[in-house]
Amino acid sequence: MLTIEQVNKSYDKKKLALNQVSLTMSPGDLVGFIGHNGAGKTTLLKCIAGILSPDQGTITLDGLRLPKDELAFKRKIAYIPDHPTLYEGLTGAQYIHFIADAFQVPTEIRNTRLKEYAIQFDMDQVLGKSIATYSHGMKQKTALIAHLVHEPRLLLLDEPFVGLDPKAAFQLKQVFKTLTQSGAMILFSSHILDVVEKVTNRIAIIQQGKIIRVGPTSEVIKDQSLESYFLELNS
Amino acid sequence: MYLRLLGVFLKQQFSFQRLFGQNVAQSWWKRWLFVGLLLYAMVVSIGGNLYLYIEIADDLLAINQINVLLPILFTNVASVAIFLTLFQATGYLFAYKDFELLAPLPIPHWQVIAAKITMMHVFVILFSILLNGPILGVYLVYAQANVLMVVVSLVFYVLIPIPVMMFVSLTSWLIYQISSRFVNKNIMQILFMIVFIVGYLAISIGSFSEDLVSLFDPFIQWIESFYEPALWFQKSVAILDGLSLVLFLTFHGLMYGAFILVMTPLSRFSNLNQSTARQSSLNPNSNNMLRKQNFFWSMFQKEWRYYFSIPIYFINTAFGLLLMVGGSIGLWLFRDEFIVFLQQPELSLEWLIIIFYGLSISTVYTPAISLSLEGSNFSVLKSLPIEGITVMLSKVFFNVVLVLIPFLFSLFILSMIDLMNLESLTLIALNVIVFTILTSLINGLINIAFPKFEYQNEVEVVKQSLGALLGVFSGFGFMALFSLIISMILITDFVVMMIALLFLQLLFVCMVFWIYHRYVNQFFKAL
Repeated sequence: MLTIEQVNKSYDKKKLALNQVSLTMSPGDLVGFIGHNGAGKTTLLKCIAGILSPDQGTITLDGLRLPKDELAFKRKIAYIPDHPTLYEGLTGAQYIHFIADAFQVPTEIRNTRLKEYAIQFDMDQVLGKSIATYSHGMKQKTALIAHLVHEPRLLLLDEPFVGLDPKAAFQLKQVFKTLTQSGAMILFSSHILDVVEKVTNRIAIIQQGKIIRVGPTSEVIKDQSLESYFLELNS
Repeated sequence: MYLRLLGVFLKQQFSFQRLFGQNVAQSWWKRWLFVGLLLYAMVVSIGGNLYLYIEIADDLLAINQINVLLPILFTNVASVAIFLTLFQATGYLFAYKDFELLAPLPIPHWQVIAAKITMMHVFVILFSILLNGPILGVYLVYAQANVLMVVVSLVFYVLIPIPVMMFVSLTSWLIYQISSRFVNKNIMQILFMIVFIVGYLAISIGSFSEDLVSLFDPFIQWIESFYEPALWFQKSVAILDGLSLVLFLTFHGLMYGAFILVMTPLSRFSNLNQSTARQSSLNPNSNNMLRKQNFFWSMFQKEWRYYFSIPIYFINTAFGLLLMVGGSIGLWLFRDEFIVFLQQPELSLEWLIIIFYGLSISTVYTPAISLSLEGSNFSVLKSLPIEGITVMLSKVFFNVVLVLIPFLFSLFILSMIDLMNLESLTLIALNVIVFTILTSLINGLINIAFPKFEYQNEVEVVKQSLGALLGVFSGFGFMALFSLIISMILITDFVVMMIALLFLQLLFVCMVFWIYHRYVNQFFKAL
């Protein structure tokens, strides 16, 4: 279970990017995180991933607390930014093995999963090539495969559908389903409201650093579309 | 994970594609050109130093003082470590670009820092071998070293930079922290770095002796007076003194541990804060945003701002500018000593001055890399309804202005100290201005031919790209070519020579302008 309690984060001690943010996620939750540009989505994802440290508040995953149990916490998560920085001197396969090493995934398991995901995301023919030759979408898929190989308990994704081709986007939605069925939690930010509405079971809406709505998608938006609900909320 | 991380970092840094860019890696002739140039630079650097230190070693051997080479080696290795660490510590430790990739991984931060420090150490050693390897080689040959001496000297050679790197990294962290408190934090960082470098150079050069054999003696003695490991190094290598060996090894082992221990929290703190400080500084109410102006000027202004916002860009390409200003101030301060120095029969003031300017200007090579520095923005630039020639000429113009400001200042000081007549000064000024235009134009063409748009850190373009290497060489190459042509036409009168040189340079400028006019738009589109 992920528990975020009263988290504050400011930039240069001037503007509060996160203002008393609280959120809980249970096993199997697939949460869509939406809000305007600069609302605080990436900041919260980075705080959970340990890239930023909150000024105040607590973040706990299955009883492990940041920053006290940092390494154990990080062993359970995966963070994929919207523009992943990969080591371009490596091949895709070398990069995936590097991440698998960091998560101590046994060789046999990693090889099976790598093969499976590489085929699923149409990357099996190019993983032997240097990342420097990859397109944005291919880099995105490499980062995804690398983090799916260690089967994270909590998957954090920032705009995961940007740059993915239609087949990869479809496959990603399938992966979301499989992972959540096995008890993993997924929190992803997106501006593609149709997708958020279709795939999530819960949504969280953030505005100027504050979570203003959170709950099961169907209960929050009721009989409206997420798009019209969101636009109405912000008008 | 330390070794795994190190393996990945080494692959990342030394893969051909990462080092020289896709463009070079995919073309065999560019690859060979780069390898050839690199080998040439290495041979010139190692060969030049080898020659110099063989001469010194001969003199030292004659007076039975060959061991004097050891403190020289020690100080030189330490100096290389000082400069490289000062330029690299921020990028390696306090604001590294792969922080977002590494921070969410379950890897203890000290292991990441240990791997980063080792990478920095590898660079210091590689660079140091180019500059100081010949001293060690000459020493080992002249001292008729046995196998044990060779092993000890090699191991200790690798260890020398560690404490220096720690001290300079701490200084670099302080500079980074203090400068982040200012609005123009990058400019402040550059200024602090310049103060540090000038301070170090002032101490070292100011304490040189006049005699070549004992040139470094006062500086070395000054270092030895407070830094005991310098003495342990000499005793260990020269006489294999057991106590010094143990002390040196223990001290450096402890320092390495301390380095990691101290840097881990500092690095963590800086990287976390760096991630939070990436905010737009654009003020929507600023008049600049509303003012309509020519694209050429917009590009010029952008170049100007960019130049002073990337410390590694400024520090690596402004050496010649600082040299011009510093050199002329030095000439002003030590005018009388310089006149005495000029009384040696083979020296000519005018030629010394013009060679000094030529060398200084050759090291200012911004047009050879500024297109590459556009990185992913290049595609945006290319999509604009602007001709490639406008973009390139704005970059060339920026470099010309950048050089001319310190040059005119330097010329003003030269005119004040009354060393040359007005006629010579004017001819030198005209030649220098045309040389600046010529090298800037050529460097622009070099960047079009050898771009490197894929990079993670600006240092890959500024220091390690083919454009950068060719940019420096092109200036030196033109100086050699002009010297050859002028010497072949057998003119001895300085004024006539200067006029001939001016016309020769103007001829080249016209030719290069024609290439710009005829081909640059085409080349630009093909990129």
